[in-house]
Amino acid sequence: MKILSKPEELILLAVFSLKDNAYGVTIRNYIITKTGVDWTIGAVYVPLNRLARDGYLETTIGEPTPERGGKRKKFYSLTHRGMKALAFTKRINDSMWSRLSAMDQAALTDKG
Amino acid sequence: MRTPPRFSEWILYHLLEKEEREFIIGDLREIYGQVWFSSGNLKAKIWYWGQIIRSIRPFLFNFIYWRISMFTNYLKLAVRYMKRHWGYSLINILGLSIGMACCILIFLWVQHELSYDRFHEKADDLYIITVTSDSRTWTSSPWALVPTLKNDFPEILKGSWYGVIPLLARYENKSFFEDVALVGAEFLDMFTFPFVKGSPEYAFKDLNSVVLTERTAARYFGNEDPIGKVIQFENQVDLTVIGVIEDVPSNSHMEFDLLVSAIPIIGEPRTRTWSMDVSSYVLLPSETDPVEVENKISETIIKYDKRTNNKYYVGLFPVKKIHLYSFYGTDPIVYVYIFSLIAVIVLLIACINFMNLTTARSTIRINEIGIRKVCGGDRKDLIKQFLGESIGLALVALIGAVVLVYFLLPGFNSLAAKQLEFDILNNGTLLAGLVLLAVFVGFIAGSYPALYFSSFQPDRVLKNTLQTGSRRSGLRKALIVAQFTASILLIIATATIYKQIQYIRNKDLGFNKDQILVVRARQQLRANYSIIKERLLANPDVLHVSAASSIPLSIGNNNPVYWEGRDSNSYVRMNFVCVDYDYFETFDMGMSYGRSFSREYPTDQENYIINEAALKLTGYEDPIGKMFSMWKNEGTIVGVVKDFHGTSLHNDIRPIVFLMYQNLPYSNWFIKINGSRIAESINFVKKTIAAVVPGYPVEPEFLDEQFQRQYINEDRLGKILMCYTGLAIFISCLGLFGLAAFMAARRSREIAIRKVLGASIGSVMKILSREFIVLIVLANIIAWPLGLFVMSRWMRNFSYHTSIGLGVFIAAGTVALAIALLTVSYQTFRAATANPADRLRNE
Repeated sequence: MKILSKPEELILLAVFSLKDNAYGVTIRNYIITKTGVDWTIGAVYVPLNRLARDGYLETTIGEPTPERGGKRKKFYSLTHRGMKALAFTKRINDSMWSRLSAMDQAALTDKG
Repeated sequence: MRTPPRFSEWILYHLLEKEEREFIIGDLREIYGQVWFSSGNLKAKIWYWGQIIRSIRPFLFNFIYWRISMFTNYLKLAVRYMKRHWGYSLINILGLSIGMACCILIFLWVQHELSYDRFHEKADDLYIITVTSDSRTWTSSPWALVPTLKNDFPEILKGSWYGVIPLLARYENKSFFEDVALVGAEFLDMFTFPFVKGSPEYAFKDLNSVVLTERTAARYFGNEDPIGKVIQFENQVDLTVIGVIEDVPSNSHMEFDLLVSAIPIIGEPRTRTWSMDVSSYVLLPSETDPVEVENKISETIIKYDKRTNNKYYVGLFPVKKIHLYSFYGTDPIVYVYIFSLIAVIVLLIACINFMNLTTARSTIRINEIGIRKVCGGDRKDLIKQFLGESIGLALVALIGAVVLVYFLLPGFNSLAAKQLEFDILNNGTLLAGLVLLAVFVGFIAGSYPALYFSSFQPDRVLKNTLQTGSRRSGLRKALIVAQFTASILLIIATATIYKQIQYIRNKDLGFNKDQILVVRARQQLRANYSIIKERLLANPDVLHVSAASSIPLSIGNNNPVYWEGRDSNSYVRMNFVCVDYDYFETFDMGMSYGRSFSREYPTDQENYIINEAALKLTGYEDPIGKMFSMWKNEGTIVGVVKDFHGTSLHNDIRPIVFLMYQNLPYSNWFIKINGSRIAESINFVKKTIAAVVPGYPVEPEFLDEQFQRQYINEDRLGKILMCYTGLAIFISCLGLFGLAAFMAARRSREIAIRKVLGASIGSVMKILSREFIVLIVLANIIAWPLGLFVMSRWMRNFSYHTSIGLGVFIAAGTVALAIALLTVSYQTFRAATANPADRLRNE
């Protein structure tokens, strides 16, 4: 299985936790809040589309709203493949983090 | 306002994949609204712009990535189809290659024709002097004209004579006849002939200078430095080489081996005369209007030359136009148009081929098109895909065409009598032009298939209910008809031109042109004419010897004439020839009244013989012994010669006067020989003349050859047309071959069932061929009236022409039909002999 890039991982996590309200604006806001970094639209949408195209995400089209200038929303949700990819990434992360000794982890926490 | 800046949104719109546009732009508007509420209008705008600018890079990469992956997909499928159906693809590309190669060849030729005399830096301001009288215009003008014009009119910046005569040139022991251009002092200031050695500043200011072309210099001096060497002309005049110029380019109407000042050759007094036997060129300031100057100088000859009452008007004609326009007869530019048209026709036939084969194979690609449409490819994408594919194929065909041109160019050059070069690597415009041509051809040829394919309904395609059969093949049939109409037209044109050329060759000219040697007699020979004639006649192989001022193929000089009873106020000019005794006998010209000139009548020196056309003009009932005069010498008519064609058959027979005028040297000698030992006779003539006047070798030519040369344009047109007709038919047949294969495949089930039910091979072939026969017959019906119209227009060029005749049309139609059937027969035979079980097994 392919290892996800960090933006991909973050986007999948955002979609996963936003549940039914995962569309472009909320996904971007969620990531910005959680990371504290301003993500440009390009930085969000390009990987988002790629994930959708590669079958990690599926989309449903919502209703147009006036604040969007009459444009519709595209909602994202995780596919089975997306879930598997997230689980795989988490396993790798966990196993790599767990390899660090308690002292190392404490040192990292101090830096943060 | 709560909408984002329009321009930045426009940028975003075009960066995004079209499926994503709506959602992403919508999302951004939503965020924009939030920012607007919290931070105000200006900040929101700045924020939006910041977002766009920072997002350009990722979006752009995304955009390019998808373009490339779609392109590789298109390419992959196109290559796959080409591989699987390589036969069709080859036919398709080959047809286009041939069509393009034809176009390139013609293009090179046209480019060369149009480039004539444009290499002179001052080409736009150079004019040749014309002289008009009696509504006839020619380019010979008086020697005294250029100096007079320069003297009288300040608008004439520079002027020069230009006349080419063959002169014997000698350096040490090397001597050759050279085409020597007699020019004035300012010639090289007007015309651009770049110097390789020496400098133009000194040329012809010193009258005793000569300028050689590189080729001529090599002939005399090899690797030596020619500057300062002395060349002797006509064993009399010594001139010093002061420069060497590049060889005269092939697109120059002037052709010469070397340039000399006119004065030392012909003598200064002659350059002050008003006899019209040189060409004159002038340079005008670029800002002046040539018409204005023309009006001013128009009456110069009338003002100074008081010898005749003739009104000679001086005119100007642009040097750039000399090659492509003539003062009478067909302008050569017509041939440029004709050949261009032919090239376009052949290219169109190739394009039609492409359309036909591509659309005929639509069933093969129908699934791909259906899937593409279902997956969201819209019509525009499909049009782009198929246009791109055909442009790509056209570019591949272009490579084939370039290779073809390299192979065909030598043959084409000898056909067209040109030295065209095809140097695409060093000719940027040509290369760009070729690529443009390929793109254009690909666009034209691909447009119909693209529109056709993209119109398929995906559901019907995938459910296999789409009709691609006979209902949709109407246009394909129309295209086949168009192709064959063009081919038949070309056959008709070729056949008619050949028939006319044949007619000209075999036409009874009214005199016998066979086995007559023509010797152009030079000044020094003419004085010895009588002695040479006597010696020539001593040989039993020499039947007659005579001489005249012009050869019977181009009797063009004319003079005012007078006869008893003519209205003295009217003014009649007739063509005339000064002839020696035995003239009519040499050419086997028959007399309808009276006798030919004879030594038994000493007064014949003042007598006249006229032709029947002239007799008609005089109105004499009994012409013999009647008074006639020309140049105010009164004499009597002693004979009337039967009409013969004294000029090319483009023209009517004009009235001609024959007179003996011993003081006027005859420049053309005619020697009628017995045809049994031609080579020996020619040698004998050469030796005899050389024995009497050493140092002036002659090159006798057959009158017959000169006769053929008159029709060189028609001959060339015929040959080129024949090649192009062949190619056009070949390309058409390629298309037909492919189409026949396709049709046979489409009807394979029908054929199999027919055969099972007992149809014979012959009857199946008949059924399959019938469709094509109908098409070819239709093409004939269209092509015949068109051909009749075009060719009768062309025939009007000739005063004497053959009839076009039904035979040509029937032959053209039959040939087209036969070739088409032969092409189709391979496919029909294969279809008819196939085992029906193979086809029906899978039903």
